[in-house]
Amino acid sequence: MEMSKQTARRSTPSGGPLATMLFASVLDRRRFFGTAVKLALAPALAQALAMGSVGRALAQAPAPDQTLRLAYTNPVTAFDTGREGGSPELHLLLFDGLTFYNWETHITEPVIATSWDYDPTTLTYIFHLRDDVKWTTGTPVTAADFEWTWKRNLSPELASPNVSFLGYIKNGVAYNAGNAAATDVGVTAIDDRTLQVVMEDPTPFFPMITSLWPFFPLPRTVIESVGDDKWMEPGNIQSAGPFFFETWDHDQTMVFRRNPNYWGKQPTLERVIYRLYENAQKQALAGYEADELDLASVPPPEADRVLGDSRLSAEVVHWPESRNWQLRIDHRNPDTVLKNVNVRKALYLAIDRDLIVKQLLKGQGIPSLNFVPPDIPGNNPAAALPGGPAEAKQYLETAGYPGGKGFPGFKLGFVPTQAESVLVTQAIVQMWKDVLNINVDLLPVPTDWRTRIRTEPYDMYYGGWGSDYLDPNDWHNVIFEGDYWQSHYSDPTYLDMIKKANIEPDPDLRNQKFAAAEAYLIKDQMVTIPLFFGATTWVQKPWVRNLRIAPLNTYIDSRDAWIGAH
Amino acid sequence: MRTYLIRRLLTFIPSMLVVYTLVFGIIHATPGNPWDTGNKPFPPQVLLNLEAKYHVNDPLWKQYVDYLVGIVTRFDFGPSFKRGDTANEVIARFLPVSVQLGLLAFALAFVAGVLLGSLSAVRHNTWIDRLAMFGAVFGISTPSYVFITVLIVVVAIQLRWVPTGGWGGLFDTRVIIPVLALALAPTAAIARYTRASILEVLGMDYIRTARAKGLRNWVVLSRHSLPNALIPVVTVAGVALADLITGSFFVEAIYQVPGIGRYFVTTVQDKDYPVLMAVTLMYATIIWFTNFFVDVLYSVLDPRVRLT
Repeated sequence: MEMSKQTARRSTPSGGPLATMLFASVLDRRRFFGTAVKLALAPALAQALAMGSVGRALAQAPAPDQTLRLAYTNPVTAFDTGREGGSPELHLLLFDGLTFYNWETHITEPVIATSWDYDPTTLTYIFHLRDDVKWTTGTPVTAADFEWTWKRNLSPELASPNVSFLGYIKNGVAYNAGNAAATDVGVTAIDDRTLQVVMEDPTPFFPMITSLWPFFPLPRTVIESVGDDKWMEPGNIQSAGPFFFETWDHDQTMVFRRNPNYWGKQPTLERVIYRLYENAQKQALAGYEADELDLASVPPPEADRVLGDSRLSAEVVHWPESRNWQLRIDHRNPDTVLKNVNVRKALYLAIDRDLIVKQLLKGQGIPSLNFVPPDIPGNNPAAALPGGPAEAKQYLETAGYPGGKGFPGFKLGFVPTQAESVLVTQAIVQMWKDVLNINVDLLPVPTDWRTRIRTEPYDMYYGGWGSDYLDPNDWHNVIFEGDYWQSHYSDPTYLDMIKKANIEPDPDLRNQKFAAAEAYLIKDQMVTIPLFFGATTWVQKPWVRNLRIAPLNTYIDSRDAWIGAH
Repeated sequence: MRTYLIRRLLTFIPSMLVVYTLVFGIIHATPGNPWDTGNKPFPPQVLLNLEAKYHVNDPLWKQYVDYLVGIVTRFDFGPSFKRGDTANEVIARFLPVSVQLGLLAFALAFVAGVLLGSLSAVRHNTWIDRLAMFGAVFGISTPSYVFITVLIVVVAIQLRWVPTGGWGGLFDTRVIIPVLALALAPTAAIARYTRASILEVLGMDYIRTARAKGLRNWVVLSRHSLPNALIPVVTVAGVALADLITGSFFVEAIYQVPGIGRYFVTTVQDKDYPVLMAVTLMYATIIWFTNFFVDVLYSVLDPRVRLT
């Protein structure tokens, strides 16, 4: 998916740069006073440190109040599992999928499905379901609930944007377009415990994507009685996950409470309270510093202050994000100097990624020399082209521009409102000037420029791509086969590689094939110039335990979290 | 008087029709559709389904008429294009919060503004006057988002007297910061108008007469000069009232107040046209009625004004 939550929505007036500046300047003074106080209190502090071991021992025990306080950007889209385009963070508290994809082990774990079989000749999956999963009303969750929900989410009347996920099912796309009936869709409940799914095309990653929110079973009776827009209200909703939805003060708070009838492991947390912000990524830090929140993201403009603050810096945590920022190239443009692969390799090697990440992004990124992020199976760090500035100069010479002589230049497009895009692109242009002695022009473009370059030729632009789901096909096939970047890259060797990799049923072999395709894409062809993977910086109270932040859409997974005594 | 009121009230209908038509025209003159605002465009089929669901491809005249008929006959502003609720629900849920907050801020601004203004006028050209008027200039020229940010940093984060955001009704500590932030500018404006107006009145003959009768200073001020001096202030206050009770984007967004003010901005960004239309008509209605009441109030405050 393009762009992050951090940048996509109304970044302008609410808590914008001015507010941030004010926070920063006022708090600088506070830090000064803080230091003075600390010096005066040094003896007392030493004593407190000696007692710290006692404190740590206590912190191992759960606190009596198991309440986790988080921030969330106010949902402005319909709060509906079937239609939600952004984050599964809240849905995961309320619902389980057939599977759960563990991004640390790369294993698709069984959840409501205990196991599944696949018949490659008929492209049919049979999911075997648990018999102890219950709605909050006590009635069991059955295969029929899945069948009904998937068809509901695909129905043209609901007009859900999540069709791309469900569209892998046979006739899913056709039904959504009004060209097939609901009964033609390839999902059928054979009995209460058996769900049969027929695919449109071979889709080896299908069990993995059933871990995503559009596949969660929804309460049919509620939706049929109160309609598509009101069923998620706490007074209406029936759920089947580790928590239930207790209250929703619109635009203010959402409270989730532990579900005592949950079939699985009971969460330790009693309540998760979400405070709703206009932009949680930018605004939550204030609430964290006033001890009203247990976790807050650190926006880049605040990073220096937070990392320099003795108390806050001890509470900083970093999490990787399933995202890569890169320079994208028009491979159909016959007039650009970038059609020369040696030029592209020179540009790739002349960039100092460490400097960008450290100085410009304040550590909120990981230098990337390959294309697919580390949390995705089939990613290949060996796809990197080896070398440095010296090799970059050689490649430029091979391309026919020794010492940058005669280099015609090109235009590097960027969307100025995108986070950090101005800084990053300026730095890159300067690096190319310093290392290769070439001049590249910056071209600020509006957001709708992307629509225009479907037909208009261009040279290069800066962009970020975040995973929609954790499969390499969301990178290779969606981006280049689907031409989502308007790279217009039509190399038959590469396209053949990724098409074959995508339908390979053996998971290990499939990953190997994607890894080989990535090496061809970067090391050999330098189709796109990767810059850095995403990473997010947060501050987390020391008493919060076992909380994880997923790389996909950077959602907070608090299901196993608990509060230590403090 | 009664015929005036009826005649005046009837002009509400064409006024709103003009607003409706203008907003409708601007919405449909804006390029793009409500669902191509994101950076990752929806697939074409999804767009078609959404357009069909919200009837945005009907002929313009039909949309214009259907929507207007819906508003007039059913008071139905339609479903939000983006949210799960209707435009009516958005207003019903969030307007009351802004109204409560706005009324409190208005009360504060009016009392503080009139007091400060009167004090400055009475203590004309003393340090009190200069200090108060310096404060007024500060108040007028400080944007609410700057002031509220400073308040949050100092009062909420450093002193921890109140939370950094949220809403719990009028009797909750979380009302303090947004009320102060909202009241600052209107307090300053009202103070300046009051001061200027009182100074003018204090130079009048009848004030001299009142003093010559031997009345005490505060009687002259409260009974003779203030009622007359307040007439221009009421005009300013009326506009301020309309402004305050419809909420402020900055104050609500920064302090997480669940009010309607944010929707004036976000609905434009989101191209959520039904909610945009509803909040615009609501704002126009409030402005219209405030002006109406200010006019009526004139005749009460100033016996020379007759509404005919």
